[in-house]
Amino acid sequence: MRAIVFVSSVANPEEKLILEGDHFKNIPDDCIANDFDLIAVEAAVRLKEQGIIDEIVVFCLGPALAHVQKALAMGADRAIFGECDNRDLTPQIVVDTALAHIDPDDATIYMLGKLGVNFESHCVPQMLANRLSCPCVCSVYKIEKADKRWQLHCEDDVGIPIFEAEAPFVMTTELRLAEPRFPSLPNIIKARRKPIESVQIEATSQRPQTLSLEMAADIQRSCKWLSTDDLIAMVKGLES
Amino acid sequence: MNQLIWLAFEESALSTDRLQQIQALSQTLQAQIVVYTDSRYADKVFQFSRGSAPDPDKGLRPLEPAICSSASISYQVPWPTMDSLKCDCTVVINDALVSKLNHPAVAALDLEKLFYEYSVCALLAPHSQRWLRTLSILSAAAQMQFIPNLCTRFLPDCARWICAGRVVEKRQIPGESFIGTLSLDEPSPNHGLWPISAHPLTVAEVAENDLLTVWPPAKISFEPFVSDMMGLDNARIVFAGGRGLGSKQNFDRLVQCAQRFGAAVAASRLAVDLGWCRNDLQVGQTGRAICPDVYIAFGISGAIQHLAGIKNAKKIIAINTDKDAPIFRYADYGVIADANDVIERLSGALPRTPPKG
Repeated sequence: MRAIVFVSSVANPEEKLILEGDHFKNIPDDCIANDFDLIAVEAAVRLKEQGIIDEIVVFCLGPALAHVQKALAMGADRAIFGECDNRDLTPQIVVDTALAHIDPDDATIYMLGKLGVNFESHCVPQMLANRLSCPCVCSVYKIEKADKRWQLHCEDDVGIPIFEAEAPFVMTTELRLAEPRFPSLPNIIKARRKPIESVQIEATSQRPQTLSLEMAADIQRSCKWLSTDDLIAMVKGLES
Repeated sequence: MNQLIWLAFEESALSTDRLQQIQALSQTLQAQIVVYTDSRYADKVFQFSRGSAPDPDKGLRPLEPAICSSASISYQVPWPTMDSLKCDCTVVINDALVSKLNHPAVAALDLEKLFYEYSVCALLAPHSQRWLRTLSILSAAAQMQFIPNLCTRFLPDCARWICAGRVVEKRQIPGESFIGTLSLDEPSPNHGLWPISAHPLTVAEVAENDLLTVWPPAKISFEPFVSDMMGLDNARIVFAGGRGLGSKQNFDRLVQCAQRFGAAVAASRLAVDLGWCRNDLQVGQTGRAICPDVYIAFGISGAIQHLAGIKNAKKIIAINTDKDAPIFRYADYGVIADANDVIERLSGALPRTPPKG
């Protein structure tokens, strides 16, 4: 059983976002791996430790190799990396490139974070599943496997659905599925010898549709101090 | 005429704010509104569409008999009349979809039929996890543009929120039909026109299996959350708890207080990490962005990541012991007090039963 984990590279949300026209200012060193995708990497590594998965392949498109090396140091076996500017990527291109360089087979599961912290497009897993004609299960917080059947416990706004699926399928990981580990120094050194296959992104005619990015206006608020009594009167007033 | 389909399977999808947004969008798209709902909310939509009892010949199109009744959030919303909406509205009842919503791929299959029945120029639903999943599957299958977190504040520009509401992404106006989730914000009064061509109306007879790439059906069980907690995305009043509450017991007290009041509960990342609540209540950069009318923060200091998720709230009230906490810079009202004391006094001041919805 093989797991292919998609790791996207995003502008660091902790830093001040700098915009240039229709894209984020591209500073490769400031890009970090999408937090949610690292949860998917960690989940895959734990599945490997349990002997459920034999091989973990990291698929990453972005300006810098750092995240790929981090994922390898966390325990992935090999990586497919396409160097490109983030502004050239659309969900369609990510999916096209991935499918051109992996051999989809029935012994593969595809894992992604539940959300990209930058564009929040929610498109890649569904597009991938659609192209592979396989199920897409979102926001998985618990994974169980018996024989060939996987039980995937998910989260929803209104409840907890449990899906049962057989590989191949696409899943997105929820925050509490796993806490990404800090790679140890020996593993970081070992990761340098793991194979990284370099690929070209699939050029399609379809370009990103963004016209411009703008910082949302900060709403200026002036804080008026209240006493607890005033507050309670105010909150009671909301009720009516 | 092109049609804008609004999926209203939650009561909050039929609030006044929502209907204003739909109205603004329908004017921008020059489209007629089709509200797709289930029988729980049918009466409300009828009132809204024609101000009188349903007439089967004009708009009411029962598709399938009611097969599912699940608990709904009770919430009293003021109801606009036909006059305030000023456009034709068709109501479609589909109770079968309610049960399919727990399986996004199956719900998407059901929704794709809409494209064969209407000349759809936009298919929209409230921005929430469930609709994101369902509609992104549908957009992948139908190969239509997907615009999550679409906002109406910048009409006639086509814009959406990214980076948890910190950045506005303006897009090319879709040239043809699109699918999207709509974030809750005030529409701009300057509606321009979007020239848009609808998904062409095709043959009426479509075998179900031809519609989507068929996914292997996965056996599911579904356990609904048993709390009476209000949905967070569309709530008007939100009580939020952070690390300042000190313990899970105190967080639970906040939840009880909010329930008694009829408010939704949100949490900061720290409160979620400490295991005080479910993580779908987390608001902020890595959680969700919300814009309620009133947001009351109990013991939240206001890290930038949290503020990113709440800054569209119309009124922010913050309660914290530290007068220098960053949240006060974003708050309209501040109270320097221990959040737990305030919760206790607030609980005492509220009626024992929740407001009737």
